[in-house]
Amino acid sequence: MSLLLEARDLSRYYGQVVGLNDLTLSLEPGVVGLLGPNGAGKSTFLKLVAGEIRPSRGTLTVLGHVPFANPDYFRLIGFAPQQDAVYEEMTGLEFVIFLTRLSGHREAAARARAEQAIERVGLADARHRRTGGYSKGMRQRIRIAQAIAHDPRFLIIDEPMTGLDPLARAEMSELFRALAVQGLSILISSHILHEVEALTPNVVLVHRGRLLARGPVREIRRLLTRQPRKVEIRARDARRLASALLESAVVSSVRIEADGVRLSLETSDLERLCSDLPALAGRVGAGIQTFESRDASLEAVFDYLVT
Amino acid sequence: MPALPATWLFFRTHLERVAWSRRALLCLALALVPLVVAASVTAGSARVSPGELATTVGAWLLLQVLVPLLGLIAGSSAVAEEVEDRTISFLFSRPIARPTLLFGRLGAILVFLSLLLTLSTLGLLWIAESARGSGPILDDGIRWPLLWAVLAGGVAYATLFAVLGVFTRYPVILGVLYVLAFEALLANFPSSMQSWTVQYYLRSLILSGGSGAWQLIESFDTLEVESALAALRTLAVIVAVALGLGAWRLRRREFVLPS
Amino acid sequence: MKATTHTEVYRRFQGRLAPARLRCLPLLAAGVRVALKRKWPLLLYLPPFGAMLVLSFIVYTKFLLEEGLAPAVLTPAGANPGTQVIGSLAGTLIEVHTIVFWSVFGMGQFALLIAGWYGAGLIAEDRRRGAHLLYFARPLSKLDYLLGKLGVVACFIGAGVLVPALAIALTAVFAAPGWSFLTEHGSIFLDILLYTSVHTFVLASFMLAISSLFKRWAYAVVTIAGYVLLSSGLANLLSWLNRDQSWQVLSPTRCLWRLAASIFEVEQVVGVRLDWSPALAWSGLGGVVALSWLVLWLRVRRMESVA
Repeated sequence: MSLLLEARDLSRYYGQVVGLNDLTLSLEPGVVGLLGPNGAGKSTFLKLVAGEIRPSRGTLTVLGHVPFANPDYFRLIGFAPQQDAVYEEMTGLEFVIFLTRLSGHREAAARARAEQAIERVGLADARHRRTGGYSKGMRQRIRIAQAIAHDPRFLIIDEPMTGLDPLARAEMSELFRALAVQGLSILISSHILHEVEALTPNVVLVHRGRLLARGPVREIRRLLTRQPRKVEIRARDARRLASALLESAVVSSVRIEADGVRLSLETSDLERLCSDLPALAGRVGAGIQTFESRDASLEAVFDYLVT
Repeated sequence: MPALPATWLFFRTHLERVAWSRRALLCLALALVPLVVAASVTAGSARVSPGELATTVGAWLLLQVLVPLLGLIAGSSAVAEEVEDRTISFLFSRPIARPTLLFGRLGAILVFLSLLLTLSTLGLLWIAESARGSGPILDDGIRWPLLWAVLAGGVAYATLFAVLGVFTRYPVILGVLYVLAFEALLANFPSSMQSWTVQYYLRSLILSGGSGAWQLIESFDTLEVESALAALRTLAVIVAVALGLGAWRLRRREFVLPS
Repeated sequence: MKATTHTEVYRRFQGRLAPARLRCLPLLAAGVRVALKRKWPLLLYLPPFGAMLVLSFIVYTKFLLEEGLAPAVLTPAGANPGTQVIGSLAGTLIEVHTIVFWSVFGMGQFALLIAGWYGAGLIAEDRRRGAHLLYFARPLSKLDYLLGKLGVVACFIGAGVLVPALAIALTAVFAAPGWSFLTEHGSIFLDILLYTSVHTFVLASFMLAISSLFKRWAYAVVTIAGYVLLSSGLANLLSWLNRDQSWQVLSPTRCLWRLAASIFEVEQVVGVRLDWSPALAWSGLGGVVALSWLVLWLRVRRMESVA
């Protein structure tokens, strides 16, 4: 199978600021999540892949093409950028038709494709309204519509879930799954792990312009399980709970906070702790009020991977 | 998409956009100013002749002020507005040759501007006919040179400011500097430096082929000008070179937009 | 007390507000600080300060020549026998108040560019980015907001007009023997302050009014330039056609020139018609200021109510 994307020593600098630094990566066709905290270099990478900017160093080929300002390449891709920008005086339908026509389709075909794409993103009712009057979520969806209307082979989407309510996010995920089933390769960037996880098992993690990890999410999570997990518990009788927890084999350390009701603990097996904790707390009458895993976020994953 | 259909699509879309925008109303209002001035002078004064009215308003108001101003307002939006609105990402991720954006949108701007300037000039000439004073008459030596100079000026200024938008994020401020400072200064310097301004060639178009009435305008009487053909040729070269540079730059330029 | 749209209870404020202070000052300071972050627009001050150096040198030379001396830079070989003649000519031909007039006359053009750069976006960008929502969620009155913004643009205009004029006058004070310039022509400082205050206030008010009409600073700049060009063109045209220089009142720039000539007692200026009444110039400028503040008040009131 030919590669979707191949990057070697890919770097991009903005003056003194490093956007990407020596990224070497190859991706196969399919759905790939590009993950990283804010400022990691995700958008820079996507802009390079979308052919908006050139690399400062290194090489990048996507679908066998060098992306920058390459009309042959643009026939094959659909790009939905992150910025909240649309042609405000156009209706949603006009907006998508215009851009679909620029992809080489005639008026009638562009209209039919635009209608279909708008239907797929759930904006059929609002297609004759000016985009200037759209909500943020609607603008996001119309940007997705323009990216898929011309049937690209490869879809590049920067932060697609921004501005969407939970229901719309679920619909959007469903749309991407359906597109993937049709054979479309998708590269989605996000800083929210569980959203991308719901779409694809394959992720690429970037941090400070560098490649941190890539591969299935499970493997990355397994990296996390080698590190103790931090948990915070608020209980009526924190001291009793603390002494009971210290007897557990999966708890490596417990600290009682200054207010006397909160516990911070480290555990090597969060799942086992969660299953043992109710019985343990009931036995000592601790009265657990809140339970919070402090490092389920992507930032925590990165902390572990970086340190 | 092939270059010609893409250019036509940009042309058509932008013409619709420009024609129905608030900017069009502003341009229309500005284009009517010479007519209002001419009408008020005609109504209020029995001293001013048709030729004097047409030449004075045509040279001082239309050619020196409104043509550069309308060129700036209309021309600077060709590419710079897409960058400022951050919609250029959509356009440049399509299979089109990038210069088609410049050519298509500039074409629409030139059509719009030419219509507006023609309306303004013909309106001015029509109103000036009814001036009651004795003096130079309004003949073809005034009409045609003024019309050609106004149209040529509109094309030249709009093109220059449109191309400026390809090179910089601030075409408006540079355009204002050019019109208010550069041209205003150099247009009144000895002749060799005047030839660095567009106004010099527009004045050449008027003076070399036109009626003696133009010589009555203050500061026009001492000008050394080129022939109309040479002036038109120079303006055409300026426009062609600007477009060439703009197309070249647009192909290579990266548009790094803030998120 | 219950709000009609919510089930929350709104508690009455029971504290004490701090006494009102000049809230425009923090706004002014912040505006100037932000404007100075970009260094290259300071190049706009190059011509005014260059001219200031040249004109100050001329004034300095005048007093030296009057005393029978010549500046070393003009006479490297030693005292020139013609210095006495030149000195008496310098005394009669070079008047300090005329030099100051030329300073403010010339700097006025650059003041327009400076005001355009620093002032055109002050309110326009606030509207565009929604910053007015933040401002008016604070205890900031319309007047505070306007004075703060006015102060920002006035600082930059003042630096371009007031500083060169003051520098020239101070050069005369120190160059003249025995403080004679100060004792005989000390009122020039009041004239400078009067003129530059009027110039700055008129220009700043006008800039802000135009800025308040748009959401893009570029449109504001074009409108300002257009108004200046158009008003000057119209003033010249109607004056010529009607053989009546009173029509110069249509142009704020011409009004400022007329005012400067009147304040600094200059009777003739090459290329500028002064055969019209200064009272008309005052009226013209008064009209511009009144209209500007009316526009500003209405626009800011609207911004405040939207916020």
